[in-house]
Amino acid sequence: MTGLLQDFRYGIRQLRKSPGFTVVAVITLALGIGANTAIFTVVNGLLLKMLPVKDPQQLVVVGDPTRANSRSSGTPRTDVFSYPLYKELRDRNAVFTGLCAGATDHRIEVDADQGQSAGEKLNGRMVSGNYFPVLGLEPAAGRLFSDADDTTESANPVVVLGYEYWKRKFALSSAVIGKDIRLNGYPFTVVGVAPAGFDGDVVGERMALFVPLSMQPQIVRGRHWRNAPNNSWLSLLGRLKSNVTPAQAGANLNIVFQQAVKGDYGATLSSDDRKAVHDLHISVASGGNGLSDLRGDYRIPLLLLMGIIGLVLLIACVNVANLLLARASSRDREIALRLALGATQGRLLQQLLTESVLLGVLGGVTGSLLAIWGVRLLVELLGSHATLPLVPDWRVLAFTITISLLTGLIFGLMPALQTLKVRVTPALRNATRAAAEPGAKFSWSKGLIAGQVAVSLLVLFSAGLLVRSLQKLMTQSFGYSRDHLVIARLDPTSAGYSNETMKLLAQELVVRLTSAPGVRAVTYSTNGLFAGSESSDAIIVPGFSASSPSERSALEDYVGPDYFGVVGIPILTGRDIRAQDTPTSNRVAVVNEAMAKHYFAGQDPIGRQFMIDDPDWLNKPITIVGISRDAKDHSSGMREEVKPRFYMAFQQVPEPDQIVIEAQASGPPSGAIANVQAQIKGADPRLPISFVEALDILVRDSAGDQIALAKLSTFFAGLALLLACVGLYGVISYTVAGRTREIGVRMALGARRIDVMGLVLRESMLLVTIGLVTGIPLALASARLLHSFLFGLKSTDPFSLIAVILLLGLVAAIAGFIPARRAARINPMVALRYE
Amino acid sequence: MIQLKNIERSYKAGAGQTWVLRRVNLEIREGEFITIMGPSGAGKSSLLNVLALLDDAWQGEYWFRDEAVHEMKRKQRAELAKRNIGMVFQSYHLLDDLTVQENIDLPLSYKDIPRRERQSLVADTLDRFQIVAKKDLYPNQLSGGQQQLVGIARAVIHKPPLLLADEPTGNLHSGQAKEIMELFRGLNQQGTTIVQVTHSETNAGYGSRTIQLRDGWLVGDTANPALTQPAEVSAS
Repeated sequence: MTGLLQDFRYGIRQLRKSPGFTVVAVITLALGIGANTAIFTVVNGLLLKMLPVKDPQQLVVVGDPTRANSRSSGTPRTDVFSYPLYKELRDRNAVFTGLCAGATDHRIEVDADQGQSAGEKLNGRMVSGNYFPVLGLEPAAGRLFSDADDTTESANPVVVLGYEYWKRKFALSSAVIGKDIRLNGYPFTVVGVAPAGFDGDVVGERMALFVPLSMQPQIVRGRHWRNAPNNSWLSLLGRLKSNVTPAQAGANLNIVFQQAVKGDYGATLSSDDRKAVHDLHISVASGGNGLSDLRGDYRIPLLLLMGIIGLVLLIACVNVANLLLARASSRDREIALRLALGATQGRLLQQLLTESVLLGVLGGVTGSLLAIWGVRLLVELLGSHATLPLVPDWRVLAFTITISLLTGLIFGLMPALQTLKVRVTPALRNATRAAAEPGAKFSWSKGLIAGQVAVSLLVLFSAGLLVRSLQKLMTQSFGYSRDHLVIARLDPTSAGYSNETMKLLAQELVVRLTSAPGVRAVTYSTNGLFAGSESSDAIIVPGFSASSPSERSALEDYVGPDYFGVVGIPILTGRDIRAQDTPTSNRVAVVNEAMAKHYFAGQDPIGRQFMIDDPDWLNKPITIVGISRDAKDHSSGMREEVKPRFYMAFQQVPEPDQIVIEAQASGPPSGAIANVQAQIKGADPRLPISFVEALDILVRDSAGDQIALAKLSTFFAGLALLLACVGLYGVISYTVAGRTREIGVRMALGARRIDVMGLVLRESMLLVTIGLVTGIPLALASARLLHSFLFGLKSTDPFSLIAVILLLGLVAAIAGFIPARRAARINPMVALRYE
Repeated sequence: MIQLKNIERSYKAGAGQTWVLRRVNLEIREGEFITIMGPSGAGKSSLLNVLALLDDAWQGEYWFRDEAVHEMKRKQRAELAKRNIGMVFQSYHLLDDLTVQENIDLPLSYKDIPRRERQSLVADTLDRFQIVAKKDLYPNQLSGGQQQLVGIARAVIHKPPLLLADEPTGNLHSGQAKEIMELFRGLNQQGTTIVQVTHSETNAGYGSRTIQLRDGWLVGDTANPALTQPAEVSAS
């Protein structure tokens, strides 16, 4: 590789000589590289980046890494864990040097200055005593936790501050160590500060503080989960002993788990739960990049987007390759001269590739600047409030450098090879002719344009499918009208309410809210509509025999009087839940169509009874009093068939757990939100309100990943379309310029302007047609990858395909029209003077 | 057939203007074979372009068979040219991607002539110019003379009453040039009015009348020996 520096200098001079070409090429590449860098930065932050802990590659996640915020109070689980099960695994495994546990609360009221300023609601992580030692972290100030800080329930009121919170609230002052701050009104002593850069083990969530697991009742008030085997709320991270693989760790943990089920741990479970957990399996996966709920939601959308944006870069490369091909024709004389002076083909190839790599690098640098803005836009479009670690690291840098260099080689190689095909003697003899008539070299460009159209069709079709799928998802019938409902979720337990006082509170809230301005009717429930929680139970229906445990399971909700009337789910037969359904009256339930069909196929379920398969509920039969229309009421069920569900009377269940208010607004729900909030605060100012929101917004939030994917793929499809059309425009313009003489002759022979326009347009549309014909099978084949993302349509949806073909055809026609019009304005007299 | 009165043509050159045709008065009668001669830059090709209606930006009066071309719009002029004028170029201007047959068909393709009739006209022309055997060849497979033959065939296929030729033999050797000029003579004898631009006295000898241009001025006309030279030119 001799003369690289010389080639570099010459390359710079070449680029400076044609500033127009350079600017267009660099912007085109910057758009492609910038988009790729931006998406990779997000992918890196969410999927690849390692936690800033000691030897992160030794860490594994036990359970499901995407369920960092899941809590369950039913049958024990092994994707998130109860404390008793965690203890079994921690103490009996043979594969970890340490296994730590954590759980997040997002609404800890923090009073850091004895009430002098308004308390903040912050993220905090409840962690096991060995959390920091297992992660191998050293404190930024004070000390971190040890096992001595996590002994028995409520015995360890100590807190470690997150570094960023320490910096913001205490200006990195060590004086805070040893002081008391109040968390949810309970005093905790600050013992230390976590190291800088460490925000916790949950990617996308910055922890302001860490408290011992033993303090859970003070953090999640009113609940005592520590010794309850049915409360699964912990995520586990383990550090592998040397030479132990994650697979070996998994095998060992499952043995420990089965032994625990047979031993003391199992003895604390009901017989039904023991049967259920027998089939459970504990999974172990590499955990160096931490836990993340977002990863579950966005992993596949991000990878799909990376694919789409990769194609956008390919289209950008084709554009630049075409620009270079156009330039290649005008460099025939220069190349011929160099060859005549003794340059070898290899030497010239090096020179030409140096120029294109230089362009790639310029595009990469500009693209990186664009990416800074692009990352912000992406995170905004992803609709996430998460604090992802999006500062570019060596991986992002390596990615950008690699794609810049690769891009330079990809778009540069073919034009360079074409440039070198020059025939020395004619080129030297007739330089102007060579420049004026691009000749065969340009047929490559046309091929590339057709390919570009094909790739654009693929990208557009993918976006079209996702948009139409989203449209179908959001406009599907939910079984009730979503327009006028306001939903509020309250947590009376953490404000000290007992089950009985909670039931009274629910009744009081109905009375208060019904008289609020803008509210027409009110009811309440435990889970409600799109409020984020769900319950299910195994049930026993006399006369129904199940072939598997899942067949005996039904979803459930506990609802207030006139629930179906207020929410708008029609009662098909029987009656709604009424105020008369009290703890002293017969236990009643309304079941949905799916449940009636599943358990009572062909029979009328009204008046029939079933029982919940739980020791507390056995011998307490529930009588079915109504059948409601199937309704989609949870985000997890939006894309699925409605599952069997029963609705019991809220006032008849012993532990309703929480209250979800459903208020029917008389006008737009946004107008009623403030009133609902004020009335709840009026009932009890201490009552924690998780949210008060229009149902439509909650539905939209629950489809956030799909909305983001549709938005982003549409954005990038638009970019692909724009680049492809610019490419088409450029090539047709160049062709027209090269055909000036021909067009002049045609006009001299009688061709009208419209004939010339038709000639040029026909050519551009021929390229588009070839591209479309090639692209259709390509698009249909690739769309299969989207199959699992589509709702209500197939990956071969003809409507989407026809729509994007028409769109592409129309935009391409416009792109072709401009040079066609220019061609029609050619003055034949001037054109013929070319000779 | 054609009357030009005070035709002027100039181009903007920087702040001033460069005149290429000055007060040209010329009458072309049906059946004439006119040769335009003059040194390079005299305005020969410019005059031919005006006659061919390829140029719009001249001043003066242009009458074609009593029709006032100078009052016509661009579209009407194009229509008039399409019906009445055939063009032959020095460098043939055949389209490289079309066969001989397709090149000849080109002017017809811009008229509303049924395909069958066009095919028949093309076949007749190929036959008349004795190039049937070459009909499927591309221009780069022909000699210069053959290419110009095709160029002429293309110019006359729609039987224009006026044939304009700009240095038709400029790129040919003398043998080929003679054949082409014989062909022009034949066409003229069959009634086609011909105006050619040439530097060659020999070629001019085939015509019935020669006009001389210099610096844009019409300075000589064998049909009008009394033509007085303009003052500027005689002074120079």
